[in-house]
Amino acid sequence: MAALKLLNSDYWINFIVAQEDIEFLYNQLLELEIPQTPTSLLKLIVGNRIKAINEAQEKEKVSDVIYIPRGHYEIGQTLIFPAFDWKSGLVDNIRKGFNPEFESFEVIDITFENGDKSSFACNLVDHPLNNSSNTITTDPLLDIDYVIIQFGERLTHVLIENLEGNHELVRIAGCWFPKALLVDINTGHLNLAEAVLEESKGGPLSTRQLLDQIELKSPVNPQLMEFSLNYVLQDDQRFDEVGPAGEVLWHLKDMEPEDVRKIPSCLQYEKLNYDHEIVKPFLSQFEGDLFDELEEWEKAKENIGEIKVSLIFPHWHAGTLPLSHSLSNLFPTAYEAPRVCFTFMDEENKKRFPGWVVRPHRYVYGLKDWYKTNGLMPGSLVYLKKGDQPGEIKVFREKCRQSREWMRTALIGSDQGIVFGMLKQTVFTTFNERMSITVPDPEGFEEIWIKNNSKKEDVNRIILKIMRELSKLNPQIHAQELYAAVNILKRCPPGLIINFLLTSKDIKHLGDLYFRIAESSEAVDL
Amino acid sequence: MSEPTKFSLVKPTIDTPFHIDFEWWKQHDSDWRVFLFNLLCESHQTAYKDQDENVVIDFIDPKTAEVKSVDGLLHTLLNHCAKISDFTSRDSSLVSIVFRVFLSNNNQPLSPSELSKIINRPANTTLITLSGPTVYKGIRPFDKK
Repeated sequence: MAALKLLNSDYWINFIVAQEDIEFLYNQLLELEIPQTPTSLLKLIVGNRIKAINEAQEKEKVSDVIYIPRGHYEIGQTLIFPAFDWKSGLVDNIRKGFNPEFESFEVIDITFENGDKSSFACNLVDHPLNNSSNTITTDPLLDIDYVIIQFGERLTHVLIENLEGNHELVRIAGCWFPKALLVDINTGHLNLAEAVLEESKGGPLSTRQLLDQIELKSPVNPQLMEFSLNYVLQDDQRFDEVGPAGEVLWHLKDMEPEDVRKIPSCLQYEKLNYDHEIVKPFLSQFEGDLFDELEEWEKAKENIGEIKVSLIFPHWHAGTLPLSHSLSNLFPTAYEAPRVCFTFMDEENKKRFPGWVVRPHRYVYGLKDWYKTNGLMPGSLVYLKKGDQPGEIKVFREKCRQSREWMRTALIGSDQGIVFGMLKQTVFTTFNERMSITVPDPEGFEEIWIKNNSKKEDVNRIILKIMRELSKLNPQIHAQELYAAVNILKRCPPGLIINFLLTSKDIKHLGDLYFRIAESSEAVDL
Repeated sequence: MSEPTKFSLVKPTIDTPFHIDFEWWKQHDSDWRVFLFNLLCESHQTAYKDQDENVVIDFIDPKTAEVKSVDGLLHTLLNHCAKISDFTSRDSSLVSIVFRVFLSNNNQPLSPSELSKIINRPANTTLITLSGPTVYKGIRPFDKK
């Protein structure tokens, strides 16, 4: 069977973008006059490469034959061996074969292009290779859809790397376009855009809305006008692109909430090293609803409908939520924008209010008033699910049946240290039993927090101090209770707490996640 | 021909792996091919009856159809006859059963302790038999080198 000369199996694996590819793309963009995503650009490149290969093959008209065991071959013939990475070889010799398993067959001796020698059966009727799909007449590696599915991710990565190094092309919100074709937009237009955003309380507004308001219209190509405005806004420090992936929205940077521009003090964490392997099995024993943006162990849940989060003091106080792996699947994200503006909707009263995903620091901002209005406390359960509109997140709580409960309460002692007591408190929402701690004086704790941060007090010392205080209520302490309590004084991931509990000589492990202060350590004063 | 392996000075235990040392067997027993021939199944005894005892066959790779020249008798025995379900239960002596076990598992090394589970004989008895002064059918400790 005559065969097409097939591409090397690693052709797309070893693909590099050549100067001709970039020139081709540049010409395509000039012709299209529309900014393109990397996926569209990749399709153009792959299509162009395949076209070129097909044209070259057409010229060569390869007449080599694919080897199959039932075939009959002659000395001097060139064969292609699909099972040997499509190598080709020359038939040197033919002899009769012997094997009691097969009635009659011949053996051909082959010398491959690289000099290797081997022998193969021929005139052999009964062999699985005779029915194999190797007798193809088209190469999947020359099929654009197949190449995109199989190698698309890597090829896109290679392409973006090359585009980033090209100064003639610019990128906005994931789309690329030649710089030379951008419409000239002057400072006056930018000042007008600033004024329009100021009027809208900072934003967010889409590029189209801005173009309409500043009356900058293109009679030829509105998409190009949008892209050009996006480009100059991106380069101006006054503006911040805050749209979710696939949408460009602009906000005035100065009018963004302070806790979005700057990480709230109680969420600040200085990374400490510890042995993740020893804590891993214990972390999986933490009881439900615990999400911490400082931990990497949590596996992201796919297609989550609803998610329930147990609040810890820092997030409750800052009005934020942790952007752990699971929560990041729920909230809108972006290709490039570090801050994404979206809408929260209170499921109970259908009120809408702005929320912000702060991607670099992995938290979601915007719930301070909602926590306060609904009487949430550290340990309360917050329910979240995707809203009916794209980019909208529904937030709700579950009301508590009993209104007064004996609750673990964190107070500030006369020595300005933390003290825990069991006090009757009014409770408005359901809560995580292990993590609930009421904090009547959050501002007081914030002051202690700031002092601790400036003193750079050793975290292990803080954990032990809090463990001693909790021991006064119950000598057996669950790691999850300790995690919630430590986070009233210092931002600390659960892994670090487990690591301390397992490695400190002052702590005795009682099994599961229960620990107590070792007797030898009880008398030591901190 | 590769040099036959020498006796190890380390005393074997029930955890020492053994196998059929074909090279050693070829050197020490001139009737080894006759013995192998008798272990072939009926159809292969017929096929090899008129062939030279050192017959080489063209083994055809089932995936690639590449041809390799192999020892016909041994290849057929290991790859076909020894795979027949009752192959290991056709003898009663411990040595013969152990020999058949090795043929049926492509001569993968097994310790007396592992063999005892397959052949239902005490591991110590197997060890004493295999590590005695007489080497039966080339069954010797497996030298990892």
